[in-house]
Amino acid sequence: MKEHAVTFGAAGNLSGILCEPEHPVPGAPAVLMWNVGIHHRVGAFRVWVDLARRLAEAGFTSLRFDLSGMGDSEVRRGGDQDVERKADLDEAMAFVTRRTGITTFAPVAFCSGIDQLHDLGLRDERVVAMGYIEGYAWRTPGFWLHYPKRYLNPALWKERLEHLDERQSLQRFKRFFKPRAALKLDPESVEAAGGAAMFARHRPDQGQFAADLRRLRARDVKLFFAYFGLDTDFNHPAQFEEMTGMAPSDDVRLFYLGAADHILFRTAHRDATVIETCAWLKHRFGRRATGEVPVTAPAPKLAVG
Amino acid sequence: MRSFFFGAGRRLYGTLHEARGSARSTAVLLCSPGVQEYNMTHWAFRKLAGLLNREGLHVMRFDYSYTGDSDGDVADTNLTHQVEDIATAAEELKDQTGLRRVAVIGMRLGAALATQAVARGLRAESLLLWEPVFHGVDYIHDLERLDTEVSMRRLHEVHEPRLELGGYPFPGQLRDALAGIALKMHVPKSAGQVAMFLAEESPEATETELLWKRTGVPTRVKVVREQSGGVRHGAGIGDSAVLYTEMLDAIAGELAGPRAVAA
Repeated sequence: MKEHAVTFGAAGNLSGILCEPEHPVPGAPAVLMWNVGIHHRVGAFRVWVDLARRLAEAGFTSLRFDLSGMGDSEVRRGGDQDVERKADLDEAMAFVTRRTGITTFAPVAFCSGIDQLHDLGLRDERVVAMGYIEGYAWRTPGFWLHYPKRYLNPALWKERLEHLDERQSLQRFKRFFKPRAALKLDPESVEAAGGAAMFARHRPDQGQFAADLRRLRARDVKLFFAYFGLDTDFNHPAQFEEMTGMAPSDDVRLFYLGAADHILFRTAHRDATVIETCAWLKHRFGRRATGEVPVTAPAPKLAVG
Repeated sequence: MRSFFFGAGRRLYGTLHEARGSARSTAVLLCSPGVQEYNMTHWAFRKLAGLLNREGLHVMRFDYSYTGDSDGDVADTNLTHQVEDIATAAEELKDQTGLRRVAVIGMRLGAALATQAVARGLRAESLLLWEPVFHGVDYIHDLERLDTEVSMRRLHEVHEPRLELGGYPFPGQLRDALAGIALKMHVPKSAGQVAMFLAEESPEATETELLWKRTGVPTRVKVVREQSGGVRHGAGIGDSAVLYTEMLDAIAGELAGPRAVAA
């Protein structure tokens, strides 16, 4: 594996790490990863670093990078945020193609990064696979049927009482990280940080999302969805079909971790998600031994915690 | 802003923020907090680098081994290696800028590690310690409390012994190494001056100040009230960011004295 710190984009304002395998899989798409919420490009708990390095072991090239104005990338002057984000992703793909010759892409996004992912997949035919990690979810009747289970864990309530003092004493620690109810940014601070600022989100409604997925599948884009069930709007595997009208299949892979939370706070859940994401890409695009018959599609994996 | 990998053996990721206009003769190395607090202070460090650039100072940020984009897995974290990383980064900063004088700013665990690096011989014109970890045991308790808070909020159970904290592996050898930290015992003899920046008065800071002064190291404590910000967006490890205003201004101001422009 070789990792290169790279700067790219028409204005040279974007920063990232190009991770190249020792033995690339011929014809495999390059994987793109970018900011999760306000985290810089390493992602929550460094998840993108773990994924990129595992992908490289499996023969996949990846670029993890900061969108303009975030992490180590400089702000892009002019244009609104949607235009900027599109330009960021376009420039990332152009850079990877110029540097490696790879012309197809498998972007993978997490949480708020889904907004850019979804838009990119719909508008750009170079995208041949997409990974949605903790993407859009809508509360279905099935969700509400399962919802009470979330709070029926006696150990959880017992612990809440046991740790009451500890939680109260957290205030002492918080002096290092002064919380406030509202976020205030003075212009000078934003300017001093090179224009890094907060973000706004745009998401489709449920009907539009379902229609969009059908469009992507009509183009034969391979889809991967990872949902976590602990503190989220998704709490049982069947909810995916309830939301989208689309049954999981080999081309629409669903990975559900009921015991994981939205930010993958536990390392085991993070590791499982990284392994599963990598396994999906290997299954779809991975190296095959000479003469090997393509792998028969396995049943969609459901890991219910 | 220019990013690169450096270091022999363990490859480290660094970012150089080059000063605007004429540069001063001292460059600044920023040492981030421990991995559990790193992501939520990334923005603040970038802002601090920008403020220092305005004052004509070249600034370098870097990721310790086992963190960020640098080599290694968090589960294998070795504090001795991370102290060595600071010295390696200081040399890289000198090479990148052509300057021979370095000031070091460390936050929380980064302050404790930077102090150890200076105690072991890294020459620092100024050593600025931002909310330093005075006692490793207290630091572990802080992380445990925050871990509990996030675990409860995220509906996780908390299992003892805790083999992970704040969303990262926390193996026994790391716990032991952290528990052994006692800031005052690492006298930063190679520092021209030391300043501690705190949000509140602290008996540990006063004790450390007196002890280091007695050994001949000019040391001061500065209390900076964060009036307008120090804002944390969200309320937990790993899904939040911390913003500062007065503290960053105070730290940048400390190094903003009269310019002695590099030859």
